[in-house]
Amino acid sequence: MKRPSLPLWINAVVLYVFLYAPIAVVVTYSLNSARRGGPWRGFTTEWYGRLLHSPDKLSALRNTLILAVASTAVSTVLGTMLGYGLSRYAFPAKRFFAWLMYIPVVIPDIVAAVAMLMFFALLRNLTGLFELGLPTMIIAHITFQTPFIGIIVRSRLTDLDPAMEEAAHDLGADPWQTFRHVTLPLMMPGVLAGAALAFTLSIDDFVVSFFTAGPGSTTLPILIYSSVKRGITPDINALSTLIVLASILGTLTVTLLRRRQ
Amino acid sequence: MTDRGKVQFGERLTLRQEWRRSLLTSGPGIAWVTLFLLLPLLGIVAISFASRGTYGDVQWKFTLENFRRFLGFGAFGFDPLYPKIIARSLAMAAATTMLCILAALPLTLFISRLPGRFKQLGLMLLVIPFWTNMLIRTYAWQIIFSSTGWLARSAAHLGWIAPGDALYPSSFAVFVVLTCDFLPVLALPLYASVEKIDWSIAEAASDLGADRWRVFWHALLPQIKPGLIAGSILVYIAATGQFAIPDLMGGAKTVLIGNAIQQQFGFSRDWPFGSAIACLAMGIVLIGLWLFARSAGEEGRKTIL
Amino acid sequence: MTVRSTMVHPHGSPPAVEVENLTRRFGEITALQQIHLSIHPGEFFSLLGPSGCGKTTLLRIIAGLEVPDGGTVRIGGFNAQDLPACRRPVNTVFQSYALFPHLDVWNNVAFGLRMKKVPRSEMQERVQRVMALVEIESLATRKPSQLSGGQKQRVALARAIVNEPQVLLLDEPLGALDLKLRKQLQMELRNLQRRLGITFLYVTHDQDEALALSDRIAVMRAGNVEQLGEAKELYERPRTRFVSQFLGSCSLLEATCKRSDSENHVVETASGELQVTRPIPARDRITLAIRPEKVQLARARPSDAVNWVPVRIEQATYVGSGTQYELRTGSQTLRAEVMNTQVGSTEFAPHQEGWAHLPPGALIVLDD
Repeated sequence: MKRPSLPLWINAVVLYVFLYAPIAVVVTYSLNSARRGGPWRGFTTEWYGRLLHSPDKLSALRNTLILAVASTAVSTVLGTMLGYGLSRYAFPAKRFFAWLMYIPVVIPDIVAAVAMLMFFALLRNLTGLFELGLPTMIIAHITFQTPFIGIIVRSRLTDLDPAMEEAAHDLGADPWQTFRHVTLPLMMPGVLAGAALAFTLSIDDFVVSFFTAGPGSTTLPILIYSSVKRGITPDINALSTLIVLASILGTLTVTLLRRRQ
Repeated sequence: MTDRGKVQFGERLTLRQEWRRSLLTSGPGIAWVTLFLLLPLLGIVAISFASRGTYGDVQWKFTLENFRRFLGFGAFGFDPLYPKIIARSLAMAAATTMLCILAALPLTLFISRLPGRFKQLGLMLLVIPFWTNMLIRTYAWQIIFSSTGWLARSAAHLGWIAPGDALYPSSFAVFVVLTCDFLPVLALPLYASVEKIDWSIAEAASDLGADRWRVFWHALLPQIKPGLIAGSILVYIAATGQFAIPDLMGGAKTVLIGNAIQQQFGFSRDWPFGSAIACLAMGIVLIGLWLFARSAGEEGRKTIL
Repeated sequence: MTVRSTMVHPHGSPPAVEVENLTRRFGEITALQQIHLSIHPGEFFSLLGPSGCGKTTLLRIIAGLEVPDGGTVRIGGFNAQDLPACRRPVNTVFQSYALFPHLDVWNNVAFGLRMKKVPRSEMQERVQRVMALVEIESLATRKPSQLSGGQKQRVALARAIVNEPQVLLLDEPLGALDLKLRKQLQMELRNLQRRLGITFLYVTHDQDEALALSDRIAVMRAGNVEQLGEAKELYERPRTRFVSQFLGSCSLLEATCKRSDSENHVVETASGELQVTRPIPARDRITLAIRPEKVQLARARPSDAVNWVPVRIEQATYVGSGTQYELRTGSQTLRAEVMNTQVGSTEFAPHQEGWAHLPPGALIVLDD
């Protein structure tokens, strides 16, 4: 395997610069003492301190986390059951339904978002419930997370050697014992990977949240968007930097854990 | 005839039991997604044939007005506004996908040729932006492109733009940011395929006298097809429906389908028309997918995950 | 062609496994056609045949991992029809070992006992004993991914035996190992079986293996049992062309019946008359078979000797311990294998003429 040639190096470096320029800029300007996001004036960390005292940012953080944890919890259960059922059992029109589960993955998120928005409006007309807010956002997130997890768990299960479970039965384990002691442990990595993906999708989601949010259920991405529309301020940069750091840490942690296995 | 059932994975199930199991396991997930997404999608198609009442409500009168409108045949004669938006969106999505491919190919080749631990590092450097919030990566370009940034100042110096202008909002900015934001989305699946390339085929081809272009086209391209198709599909779909990026980087000047949809569900409150545009977006995506699928087969999509 | 064997074991206890009229279809293909088998307790029984003959399917049906389309299975005298695999007193050693990757060796071996909720102290003792028996005590804390092929095989074996099953089912357990290791493990398996006294039902496509290990062998082809019997019987007296070619090799000769009465039996072949020692069935055409090592070669034919045919040497291949000859007599081909037992023994070269002796006792009259 020959080493990369010079043109490849140059191309790679240029691209990496383009990929990291935004991140670098945000981090740099979060430490900029210029008030209204102008050019560099001096070093300061005051904007980070300000964050702790801004209620709107803290509540956005709270909403984001509640949304992510709640939706991930439910979608992991639904998605795992879905993946398990699809990989194991046959039923009439199964092919059709399995294919149907790919639609949420390929539809542009804005189309999904407005579809759900209108559906909630309809439900509101019919039942008087489903006011836009955290509950509707949670429902919406679960809806797009579940197929992803289902696909991951299903592929993980179909890769599993059926002889494992046959051996368990052969050795005397009844169906429930087989599931508990053999199938579940072996599919757990897939379930966890799915859950991690779902969690990240929820935290980073902007479009779906934007359309299904109500007053008081602003999440971090929505907050950032509205602020930026009004003009970039250093405290937004500070907030963004923290978010970026969190996602870098998350990615590194997951990769290290994967490596351990 | 008694149903002796069959045994799978060591457990004996009759057909009835199998159906019951499917219902209990896949049932809830399928029901949820069908109820909250698939039916509403059908609802979008239905509403696009309705019309907007005076106060912004939905009037259930069958009409093709919405579709005529975005094809340009509005109430006041031919209005190229929407056809332009559609054409612009298609062009942007296609161009972004193309540019991402051109950039990702050498990048993934580069990473695959790095020795041992550096390969992990190179990959990690690609994965990190992928998991970083796209909104943040996008708005940061406003700072980079701002009139006081050195990019804009150099461009003014070179006479490309007027001094004091920023490089955004503009189609150029939208295009650059789309490409940068989606590059990891294409590069990661592509890398999965590039890593598995059997170089001996390329060597054999050049031994037999093929020039570099032929070697690429016949020996390498077929091998990376699954990852390439998978990544391209993801970028294409995402680029078609984008509204945050054109909104932040293109302003009122560069309106894409995503912005148009958002407007109709935002201040314009013309849900039937918005739904029609959304139908169009779905249609574009489905046609694109069909074209991709024809050239790749099922493996392309499965490689995504 | 079905083969029936005695349904009751000579010693009076029920057969370890009894299979009656067993049929299994996969769509258009019939994997098993009304199989009848009876396996004696404590015997090493092999199912031998080429891939696709149905031997693995039969094993899996006995294990409970597949449901037959017709017929019955009795284990230890009891109908196993409604018993799920987890309750049958049989255990399987899988071809791919199927060790649980998330458990260490000790927990793999103890799995069956844990599922049956055997008390801890008894479990410890039994696992310890079996691991010592199979010589894997030092591997207790390792994970399957850290084991070699041979070690995995032993763990799979231990995991099955520790449950003290009535019958142990082995599905080509040594297939993935290299020759030397295979030979070594074959002997260990045989000794283990003798020590434990458990009935072994062994599936293989390797005839050497089957011949060396088994008390009785059932040769299967295309869903049927072609012949069943002890190794020696199968080798010396194959009944069909298939069996004669699958176990070792045979030269085949076409013949017609000339005379068959209480004193002698004579057939007519293209190379002359031949005497055989078994009654000849009343059919138009008969096929004779003879093992290459039974054919004797000489330069000249002894006077008034019987069953000598003139041959022409087509090919001579020296294989160290002997020489294999391909001979032509009339329009038929004969194969002979002569051991090089003496220094400077007679050797024939191609294109030479000679005589081959086909001892009457060595000529087998096939059923087909």
